[in-house]
Amino acid sequence: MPGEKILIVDDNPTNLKLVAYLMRAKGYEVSTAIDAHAAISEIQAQRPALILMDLQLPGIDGLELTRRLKADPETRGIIIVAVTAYAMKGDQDKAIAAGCDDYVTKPIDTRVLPETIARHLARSERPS
Amino acid sequence: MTRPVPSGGTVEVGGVNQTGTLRLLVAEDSEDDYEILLRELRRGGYEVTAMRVASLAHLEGALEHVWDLVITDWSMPGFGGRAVLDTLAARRLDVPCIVISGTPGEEPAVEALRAGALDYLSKDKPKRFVPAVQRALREANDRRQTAEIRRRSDELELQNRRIQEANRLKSEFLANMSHELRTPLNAIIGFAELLFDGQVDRDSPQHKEFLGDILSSGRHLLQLINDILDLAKVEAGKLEFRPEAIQIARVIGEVSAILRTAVAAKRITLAIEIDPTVTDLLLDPSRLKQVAYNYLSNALKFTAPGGRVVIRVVAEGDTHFRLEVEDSGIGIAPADLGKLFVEFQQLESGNGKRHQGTGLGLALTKRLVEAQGGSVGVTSELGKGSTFFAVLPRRSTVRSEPIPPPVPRIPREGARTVLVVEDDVADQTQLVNALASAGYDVELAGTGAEALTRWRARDFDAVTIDLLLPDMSGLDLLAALHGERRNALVPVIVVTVVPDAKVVAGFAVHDVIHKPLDRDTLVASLVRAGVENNRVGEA
Repeated sequence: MPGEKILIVDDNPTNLKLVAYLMRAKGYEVSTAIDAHAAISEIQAQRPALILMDLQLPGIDGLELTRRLKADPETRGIIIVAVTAYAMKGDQDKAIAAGCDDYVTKPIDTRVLPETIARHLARSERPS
Repeated sequence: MTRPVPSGGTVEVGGVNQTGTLRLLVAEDSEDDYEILLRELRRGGYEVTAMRVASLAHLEGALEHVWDLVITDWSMPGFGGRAVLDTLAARRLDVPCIVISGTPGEEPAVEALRAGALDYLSKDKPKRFVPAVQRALREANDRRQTAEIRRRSDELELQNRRIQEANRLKSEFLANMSHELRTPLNAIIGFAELLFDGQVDRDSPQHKEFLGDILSSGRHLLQLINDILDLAKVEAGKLEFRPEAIQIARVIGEVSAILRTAVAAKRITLAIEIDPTVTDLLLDPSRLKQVAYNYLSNALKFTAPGGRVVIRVVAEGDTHFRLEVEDSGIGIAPADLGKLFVEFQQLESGNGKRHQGTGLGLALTKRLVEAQGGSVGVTSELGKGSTFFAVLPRRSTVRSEPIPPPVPRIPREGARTVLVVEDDVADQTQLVNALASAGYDVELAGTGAEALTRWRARDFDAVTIDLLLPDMSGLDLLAALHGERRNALVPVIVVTVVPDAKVVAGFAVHDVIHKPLDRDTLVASLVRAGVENNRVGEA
C-alpha cells in the first residue's frame, strides 16, 4: 500500500536507482542499501515492511542476510523478495530455502514488479 | 618390448604379430643341466637365445639386457635361487622367473613361490620344462596386459574427472555470464520501460539521466559481448592475429590517450618508460593495445586519486620484451592472486565494494598473450600496489589467416571512389561519414541489384559490402561481383555484424570488418589494400 516502507538492497548503483525510482513513483517510502551492513542499519532505523534483496552482494551475500533476518524474531515478519540476475536452474530453490518469500529475476518487468509487491503487502495486512 | 615366441610361427601378443626367439637367462652352475634345459626347450618348439650365469655379479651384468624369461637353479655354490629372485624384485624387473631345482622338497618350493617365482620344478622331470615355460610366459603376458588395462583405466578415470571439472567450470561460466549480461539489461529494459510508459516527466532531469544510464549500460553490454566473443575465439584458436611492424611507443601512447580522461579525473600521475632497445617488433597492434588497455584501465581503477601509475616496456633478452603496468593501488592479498586471471572472478576491495568491469579483462588478456606465445603474471603488495606484466615475443609468428599481399595499384589523380553496399540507413550514414571524412568519394547502393548496376557503370577503387541485404544474400552478391569483367581486381571489404570471417572464405575478400564500425579500422584496411587517398587530411 502506498506509504509503506520498502528497503532496496543492491550493490549495483544503476539498478538501485531504477528500482528506487519505480517504487517511489508507486508511492512507497523507499530506503536503499548497497551491502548487508548498510541494509542492517536501515532495517533497524526504518523497520521496512518489505525488502527487495539482490542476492549477490559483496561480503555477506543476500542469501546469508535473508537467513539472518528470518532467524531473528524481530525481523522475521519482513517480507523478502529476492531480485537477482542469477537465473539458472536451482537459484530459485536456493533463495526460497534461505527464507525469501518470492523470487524475481533480472531484467525486472517494471510493470509486473509493483503488482508483485502490492500483492505481498496486501496479503501480510489481511487479518488472520 | 619384444615378446617371447615359440619358433616356427607367430604369436599374437597384445594384438601385434611378432616373430622372434625366446631370450632366456639361466642361472645354473652345471653346464650339463643347462644343456639339458636348452635341449628340452628346443625340442618343445622354442627358438632360444640363452645365456648362462653362475654368480651374482655375473647375473647383475646380464640383467642389463632384456630377457623374456629367467630360469634359475635353487642351490648353487656362492649364490642361490632366492638371491636371483630377490635381485629381480629389487630391480623391479617385469620378467617372469621359474625355478628348476635339484633340491626337492616343499619348503624351498614355498619359499621360491613367495619370493616371486612362477613355478618350482624338479630337474628330475624335464618333460615338465616346456609346459612350465609356456605357462610362465602366458602368465607374464597376462600380467602385463592386466597392468596395461589398469593403467588405461586409471588414465580414463583421470580424464573423466578432468572432463567433469571442465564441465562444471563451463556451467559456472555460463551462470556467471548470464548474471553479467542480465545486470546491464536490467537497467536498459527497466529505464526504457519507465520512459516508454511515460512514468518519467519529459522535462525532468531524470529523463536525460535515465537515457544516459541506458546508454552506458548498453555500452557495457557491448563490451561484455565483445570480450566474451574474443574469449570464445581464443579458446577455439580462432582469434585473428595480424602481426605488422609496430612502434611500441606509439601503441602505448594511443592507449594512454584513450584513458586520458580517467587519468585526469583521478589526478593520477601516469609515467611512460620505454626501453629504446625494444625495436623491430612484429605484432598485431590491436591485440597489443587490448592487453595494454586492460592492464592500464585496471591500474587506474584500483589506484586512489592522486596516485601514480607507470607503464613500462623493457627488453627481455633479445627475442622477447616485457610490458608492465605498475600502480600505487590497494594491492592484492596473496590468497587472491590465483583468482586474478580467471573469468568473472572479480575481487572485492577492502571496503567490500565491487568494481565496475566485465570481470573478463584479465582472463582475456591472459589468453591473448598466451595465444601469441607469451605469458602473463602479477606481483603485488597489499596496501602498496601491484605490477601486472606480459612477456611477449618481439616477432609474433601467430597468424590465423593468410593476409593477401596488397594489390599494386596505379596512382590516380583526385579522390578514390568506394562503393558502399548497405541497406541500413544508420550504417549507411556511418560508412559514408567515415569514408568522406578520410577524403574518399562514395557511391551508395541500398540493394544487391543496385550494387550490380553501379558496379557495371564505372570503375571503383574499393567496395564495402554488408552481408545482410534485402534482395539477395551478401555471398550471392560477392559471387556476382566477382563474375563481372569490370572492376575485377577491386578489393572487397565485408562490413558485417556476423562475427565470423569464415563465412566469406573462398571469396576473394580483402578484409572483414565488424560492426559497430570503427572509422580508423576501415581506413587502415583500405590503406592496406593499397587504396590510399591522396586527399587524406583535406576533409
